[in-house]
Amino acid sequence: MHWIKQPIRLLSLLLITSQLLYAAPFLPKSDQQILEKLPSDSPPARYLNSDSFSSGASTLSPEQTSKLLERAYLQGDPRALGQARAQLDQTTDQSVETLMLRARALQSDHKFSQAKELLEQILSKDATNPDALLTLSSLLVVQGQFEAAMSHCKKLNDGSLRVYQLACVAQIQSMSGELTQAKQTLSELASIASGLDASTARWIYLMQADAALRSQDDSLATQVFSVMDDQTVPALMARADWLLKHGDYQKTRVLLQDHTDKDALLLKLITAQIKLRDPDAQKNLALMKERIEVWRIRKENAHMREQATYALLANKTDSALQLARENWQQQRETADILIYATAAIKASSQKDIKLIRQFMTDTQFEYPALERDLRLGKISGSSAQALNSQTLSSQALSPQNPSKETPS
Amino acid sequence: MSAFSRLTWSHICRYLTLFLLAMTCTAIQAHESSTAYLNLEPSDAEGAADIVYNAEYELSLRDLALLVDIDPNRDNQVSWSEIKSQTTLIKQLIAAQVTLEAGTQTCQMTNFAPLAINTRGGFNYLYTNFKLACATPISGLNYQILAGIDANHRLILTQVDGDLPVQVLAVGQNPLGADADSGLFATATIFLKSGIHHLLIGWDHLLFLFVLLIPAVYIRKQKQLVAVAKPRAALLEVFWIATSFTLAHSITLSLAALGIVSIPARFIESLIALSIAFAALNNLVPMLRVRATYLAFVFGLIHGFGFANVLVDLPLATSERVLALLSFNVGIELGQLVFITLVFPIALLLRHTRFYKSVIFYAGSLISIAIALWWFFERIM
Repeated sequence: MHWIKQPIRLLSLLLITSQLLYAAPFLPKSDQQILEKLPSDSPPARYLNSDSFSSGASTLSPEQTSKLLERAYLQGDPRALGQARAQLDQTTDQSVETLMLRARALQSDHKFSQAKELLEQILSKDATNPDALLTLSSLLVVQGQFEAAMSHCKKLNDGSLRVYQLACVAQIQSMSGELTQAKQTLSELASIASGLDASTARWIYLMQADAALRSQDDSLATQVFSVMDDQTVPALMARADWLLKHGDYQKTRVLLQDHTDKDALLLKLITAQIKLRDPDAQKNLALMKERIEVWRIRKENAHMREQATYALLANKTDSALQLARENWQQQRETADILIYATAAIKASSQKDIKLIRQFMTDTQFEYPALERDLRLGKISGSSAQALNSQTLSSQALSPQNPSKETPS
Repeated sequence: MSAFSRLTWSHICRYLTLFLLAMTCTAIQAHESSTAYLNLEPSDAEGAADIVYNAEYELSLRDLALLVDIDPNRDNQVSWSEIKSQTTLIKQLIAAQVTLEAGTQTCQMTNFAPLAINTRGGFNYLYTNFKLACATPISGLNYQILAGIDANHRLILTQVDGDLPVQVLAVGQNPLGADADSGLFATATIFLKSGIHHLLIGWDHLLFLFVLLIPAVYIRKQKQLVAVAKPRAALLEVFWIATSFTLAHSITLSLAALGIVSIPARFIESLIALSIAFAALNNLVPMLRVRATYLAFVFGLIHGFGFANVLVDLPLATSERVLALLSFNVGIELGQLVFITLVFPIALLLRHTRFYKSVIFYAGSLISIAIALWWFFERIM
């Protein structure tokens, strides 16, 4: 009777999808029904009455714009980015501070070339501007240009910027063949992180989490996750990656079940749900499909990593590989290498596997488990577990595989 | 505290924005971007002097909260009663900032139905339904919702009548219909380029064409290869080869790209490699006593599935998919034409030379077999 399962599963997916896509408007069951939760730092509503409809736009406050950009990053909220951009659009101010905010907005919007241009413009005015140096260095790291990134870190030679210089260098070292040295530096920085501001501390922890994941360092992971927050999106992503890598699907589900509004976290949740044969996986896949359809209509290209991940989960291997390839042209962080490698292996694309291995050789990017998978041409549990969820159809036919729990 | 710690401890938080900047920065881990929806449908209002449209406008509650106070008790939770308490202001807001124009006149909003909620992508949207009375057909939209508040806000406009495609509009004055053509044109252009690109970077397809083209300047007489005397015969042969290859791969490309037939990419890629090896071997040792035209047709069917791998999983709507398919196919033909235009004149010029026969034809076929077999084993491994 196995043959009947597949059509039934497809039918139910179709049903859920059609319900989501063509959901009819409804009246809430009661006046008290809560329909939306707003961010705690929501600005007040613009219009108190119809007379105020013609009131002008709000003026730029650099602190407020900076906070919006921070929320965009920490809460994965593109609305905050749009709001920051709207504020920046209303000023012609050319001060370094405003230009920096513009550069950050461009960078967050994946407009890397424009961001780079602006940062170089800032540095032409102020060659030692630490904000510009750090941002440019980070941008180059994302694009895999480690030597150029390092040259900017080295310019942070003011003694007062020692923490940032060390972290900046460690970030590059961890991606370019000096992972052990980077871990050492990051440990030293982490030891004083409690005295640093929350964002700098989080940055250090995130780099440590990435290093722990790639070097399969359990003790480092335990140490990092005991101090890192579990509320912000980047921190939740790092935790989920670690749990998924260890087959802790149940814990992943618990960690992320209230974060279905954030696409990247939703994709991790779906991965865990598929492994757990949770029926909600299908519902969430349909939800993700609906959101991707909106990106497509809006012609947004800043979500290729998420789209490639979705395509893999939906067993659309060729599409996943193409998206991962396009994403690879834009950004080359660990998650990008992982998604590209997983898609290439699943599609048995020797050309892409060779390209990734060449990148890893050229940059000395250390990720032994992934390197082994690429060499063998198959995905093991140790590297790409986060993305190696079986598809719904294949899971449906496989025996129940209870999750392996490890302490987190 | 170590010396290292002391050094760093005293020098933090020096710059206002420094704290965040060094973060790796690609991670807008995406909620949804701010998007509203407007659907317009002509209504059958009998006896009305105006043209009446039924309009449905939907705005995310997160966006609505930026405009109208729907959380008066400041608990950061929006209840249904809090939304309903602002019905009048919401209605006034939409009337003032979603202005549809008919020529020089503005359409009048009437029959504003009670508010409701719709769910899109897992997020709750305010759903409004109203009529628009317009003197002439709608010609423009002045959209000001979230102007100056969210630069990424977009309106997705659908119109039931007139076969107009979905339009994505930014805040401001938008002539309706004008963008639609450019949207379809853009899709056609992208896939036309993609088709050309795919053929010209697809070494396997080019090699296949190469092994089919190189014998086109010869005829076999008593097992001997003889160069054609007149170019016209060779030109005709190439024309038929290209036509049959095009016809064949168009059939399978369409079947696969529209999801009617699905064959695993790996299997197809391996078969493509074998088809090249076979065609090249057939140059050296004629096994099938058929014209290259037939060979091009049969193997063209396989190559069509290969071309389709680019399109098959792209998230395209049906109408866009068909347009993409047509454009992509035209792109492939153009790419093919470029290749033939480059290669065939050389073959024609050199057909009487020993160099052509020994190096281009024999050695070329042998090397093609080797490369194709290499690809085959690489692809099945």
